[in-house]
Amino acid sequence: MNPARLDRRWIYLLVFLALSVPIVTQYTVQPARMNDAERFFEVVEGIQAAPGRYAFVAMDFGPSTKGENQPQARAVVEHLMRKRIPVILFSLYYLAEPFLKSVPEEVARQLEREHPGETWEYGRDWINLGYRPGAGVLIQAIPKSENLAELFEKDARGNRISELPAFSGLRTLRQIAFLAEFTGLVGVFDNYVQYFTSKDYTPAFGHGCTSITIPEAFIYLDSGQIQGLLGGLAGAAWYSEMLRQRYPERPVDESLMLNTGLGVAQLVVIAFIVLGNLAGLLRPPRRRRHGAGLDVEP
Amino acid sequence: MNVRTQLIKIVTFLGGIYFFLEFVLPGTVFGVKIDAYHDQISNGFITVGAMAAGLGLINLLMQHGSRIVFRRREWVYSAALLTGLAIMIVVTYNDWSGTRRVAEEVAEITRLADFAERIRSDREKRVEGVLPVAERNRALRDAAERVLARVESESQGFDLDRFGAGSIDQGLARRYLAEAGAGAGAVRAALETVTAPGTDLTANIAAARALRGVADSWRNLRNLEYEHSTPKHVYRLLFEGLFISLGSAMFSLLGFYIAAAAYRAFRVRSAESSLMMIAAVLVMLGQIPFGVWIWSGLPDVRLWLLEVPNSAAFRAITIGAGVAGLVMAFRMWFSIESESFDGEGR
Repeated sequence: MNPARLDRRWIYLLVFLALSVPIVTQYTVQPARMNDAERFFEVVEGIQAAPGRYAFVAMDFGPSTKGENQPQARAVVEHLMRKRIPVILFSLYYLAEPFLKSVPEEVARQLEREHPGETWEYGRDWINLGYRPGAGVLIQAIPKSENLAELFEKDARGNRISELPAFSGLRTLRQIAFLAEFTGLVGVFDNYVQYFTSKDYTPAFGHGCTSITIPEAFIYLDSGQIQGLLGGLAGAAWYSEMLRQRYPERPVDESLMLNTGLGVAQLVVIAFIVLGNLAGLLRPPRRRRHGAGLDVEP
Repeated sequence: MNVRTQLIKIVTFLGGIYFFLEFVLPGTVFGVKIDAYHDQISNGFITVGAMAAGLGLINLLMQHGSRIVFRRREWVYSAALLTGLAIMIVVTYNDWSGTRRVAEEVAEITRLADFAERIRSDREKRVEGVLPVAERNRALRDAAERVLARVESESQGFDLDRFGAGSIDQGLARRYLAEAGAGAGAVRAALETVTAPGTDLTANIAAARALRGVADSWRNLRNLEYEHSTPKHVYRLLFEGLFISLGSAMFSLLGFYIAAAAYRAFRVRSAESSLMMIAAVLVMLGQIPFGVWIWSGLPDVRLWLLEVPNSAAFRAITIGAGVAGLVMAFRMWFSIESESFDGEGR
C-alpha cells in the first residue's frame, strides 16, 4: 500500500473498527480528567434540595448532536434527581422533544432499579415543559415573570403546572437554583447567557457543548458567566466517572464506553495525520511543491 | 416606494425601538409603564414566527404537489415526501390528543379539589351572591362521587398484564392503582365530614388534599398506560426509531470524512501550520482516555491551551462579530439593509 495514494475506504474501515470494537466488546478505560467538568459537578453537588427550589435543564439538541449532548444531559439530570432536586426540562429546539421525555424517564427507571422501594415520579421529581417557540423572546420573559407556573401554563402533556405537586409553587427566577443548558447549535446558548438573569439574581449556570463549540464556550467559563462546562463526550464521560465515585453503587454507563471508542478513533486520526505528513515528506520535492497535500483516491 | 414597503419599514423601526427601550429602561419611566403590554407583544412576535411553519407547509404542498400532479421528473420522491408528511401529521396529532385526553381526565379531579378550597375561601372572605355552603358541599360530594365511581370502575378492569409480568412498570401500575383506591376512600371520608351538619370548613381542606392525591395517582397510572399504547408505539417507531436514528446516522458520517480530511490536509508546511497541528494533537491527547498513558500532564496542557491562548483569540473574534452584528442590526433597524423588503429593488 502506497501511503501517498491511499484509498479513502481504508481510512473509513479503520475509523469504523476503532469506533465499533470497543463498543461491541464493551471495553472501557477511565476517561481523562476534565477540570471544566469537575467544576460543573461541584456546582450541582453544592445545591441543597429545599421546597420551592428547582433546577432548570434546557436540552436544545436534536439527532445531529445527540451523540455528545445526550450523555451530558443524562449525567446531569441523574445527578440532580439523585439529590432530589426537582428538575424542569424544556427546549428551544423542536427536535429535542423525544429526549426531553426519554432522558428523565430512563434515569428514573435506573434509580428505581438501584434503590428498590424508592420512586422517582413525573410531577414530583421532574416536569417536561416541551418545546417552546420564541427563543430569546421567551428567555427574556422568564426573569421578568412573577409567576412562572402561569407563564408556562401547561406541561408537554397538557397538565396545568399549578396542578403538579412539586411545581405548583414555581413563581420567580430566584427559585431556580441552577440552570443547565446543552446544545451544539449556534446562537442558542447566547440567549441564556444574555437573558436568563435579573438585576439582582443569576442562577448558577452549567453548559454542555459539542467538541466543535468548546473553544467558544471556554470564554464564558473564563469570564465566570458559566460555572461549569461539559465539553463533548469526554466531558460527559468524566462527569459520569465522578458520579460513579460519588455513588459507588452506580453502574458503568454508555458514555464511558462511547468515550473509549471515540478515544481509539482519535488515536487513529492522530496516526493518520502523522502518516500523512511522513508520506508528504517522502514525496519527491517537485510534487510536494505543487501539491496541496496527499492524494486520497476517491 | 409603495405603501407596502413603507409599512414594513415603519413596523421594523417601531419593533426595533420598542425592544431596545424595553431592554435598557426600567419597567416604569416618569410614571409610564413601558412594559405594560410586553407579554402580549412578545406573544405576538412568537405567533408571527410560528407562522413560518404554516408557510413552510404551504410551500411544500405547492412545490411537490404540482410535481406529482403534472408527473414531472422525480415526482416519486415528492410523493414519498408528502406521504411521510401526512403520516407524521396524523401520528403526531394522535399522540398529542392521547396525552391531552389523560390531562383532561385528571383536570376533572383537580377542578373538584379547587372547588373544595374555593368553598372555604369564599366563606372566609364572606363572598356574596353564591349558593349556601351546605348546598355547594353537597354538589361537591355528588360530583366527586361520579368521578370516583368512574375511577374505581376503570381500576377494576385495568389490565396489568400489558406491562409485562414482573416489570418495573407493572410494579408501578400496581402501586398507583392501590394509591388511587386508598385516595378514593379518603375522599369519601372527607366529604362525609364536609356534608355533616355543623362541620367547620377545615374538612374542605382535607377533601381537597385527598382529591389531589387521587389526581396524582390517576395521572401517573394513565400516563404509564398511555406509554404502552399502540399510538405511542407507532409514534416512537416513526419519530424516535426512524427519524432520529436516520438523522444521527447522517451526521455521524462526518466523523469518517474528518478522518480522511485530516490525513489529506493536515500538513506541516509552515511554522503557523506546525503550531496549529501541535496544538490540535495536544488538545486531542489531553481529552482522550489514552493521553494520560503517554503523560499525566496532558489534560492540564489541554486546559491551559483552551483557557489562555484560545480564550484570548476567541474573545477577539466574538467581540469583532458582536460589533459587526450591531452594525448589521442598525442597518436592518433603519431599513438600509432592505433589499429583501423592497419589491422595487428587484
